[in-house]
Amino acid sequence: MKPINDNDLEQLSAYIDGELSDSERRFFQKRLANDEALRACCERAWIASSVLKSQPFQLMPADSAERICAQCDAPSVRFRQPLRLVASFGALALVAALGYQLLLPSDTAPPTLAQQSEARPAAVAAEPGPRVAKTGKPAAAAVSVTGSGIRESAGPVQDTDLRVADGNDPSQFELNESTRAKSWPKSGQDMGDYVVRHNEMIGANANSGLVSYAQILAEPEQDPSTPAGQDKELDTQ
Amino acid sequence: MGEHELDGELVQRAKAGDKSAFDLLVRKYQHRIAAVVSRFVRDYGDCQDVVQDSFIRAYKSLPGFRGDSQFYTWMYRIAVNTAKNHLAGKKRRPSSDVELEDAEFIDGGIYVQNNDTPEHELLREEIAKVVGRALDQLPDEIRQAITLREMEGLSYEEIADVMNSPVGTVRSRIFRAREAIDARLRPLYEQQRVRP
Repeated sequence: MKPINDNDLEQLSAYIDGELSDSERRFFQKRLANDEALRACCERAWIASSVLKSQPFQLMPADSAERICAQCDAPSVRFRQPLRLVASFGALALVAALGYQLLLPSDTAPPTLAQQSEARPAAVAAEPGPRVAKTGKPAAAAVSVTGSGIRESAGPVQDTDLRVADGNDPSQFELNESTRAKSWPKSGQDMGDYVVRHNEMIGANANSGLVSYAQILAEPEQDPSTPAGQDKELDTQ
Repeated sequence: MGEHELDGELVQRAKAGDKSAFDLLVRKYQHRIAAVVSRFVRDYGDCQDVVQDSFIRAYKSLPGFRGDSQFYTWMYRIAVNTAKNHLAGKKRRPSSDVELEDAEFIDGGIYVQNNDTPEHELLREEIAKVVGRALDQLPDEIRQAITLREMEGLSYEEIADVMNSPVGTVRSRIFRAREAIDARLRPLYEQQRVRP
């Protein structure tokens, strides 16, 4: 690096004013790229220029330009974090899927799409958790709240239905008296299979007069102190 | 080639991957951008972070910069948005209501109220005083040349016409003026460098 002489400074002055010829400018830019002292001199001239033009400025630390340029090449933390999050969720989903496959009996054929869509309302009914959390009501009220939710969501399956159908733990249910006496499957998987079979049967015999599992839960014993329509109100809270 | 054309050339080189060109753009505008950001973000450390983030965002967005506006105006917008995002992240309101439309207003050379700390306000005043004193002590022809260049924005050729001097002489006078100013500014700037 050559020491800065008067000629350099004169060129620098003309450079920042855009008054160098093309060849002079190209040559000087190469010098600037390789001479930190000359670049610092250039920066001070710009600060002085701001002062003379009465432009507002706030002095940044002297090495800030170097730090900024060094950061420009570094991968952005902001972009890395979501990617890491997506990767974590992906890994989690993979592990859950593998675990589910391992728990399935080997002779069980995967349900058809039609079977899956029929099983969904029951699965929704089997998971009151999110709605309880949403309404903030005690578990005893959850069945009726969930029930009206099923009634309203009967028809095409919505994304929101899929969202609440994730878990399937019947132990969270507070059952009413008419259903408490029944013998229930012992494990969560058995419960799921039972629900699917039940819905298949009703789907195949629409005029059989049988009541679906979803309907059973949708119509619990009505508390006379609860005015009609309160369920709907709770559901939308 | 004027000052804005020079910026345009630096942008083109930076787009082509010339980091030293972007370094020059940062050196040229960071102090002015810091002044803009300081109107939104009171804390000096946060302000520096926002300025840094703004330039990094600008660098990553350079391929999309078509050059319809001046680099500084574009940079100003990025800085304001980055500052607002920073405040939104901290759930704070801007400390003033400076908006994008103020870019030209600020470029016009009018100081708006600043929320700087007393220490930085003092430093800025000191720099302004040093530059002002250096200007006052210049010989008349040199002071006139730099004044016409910096305050009136005339080209060397126009100044040569006004002063009835050759362009080479004008170039030399402007350089002498900058040299004298820099001799006074450098110690202050280097003092800032060692500041924690």
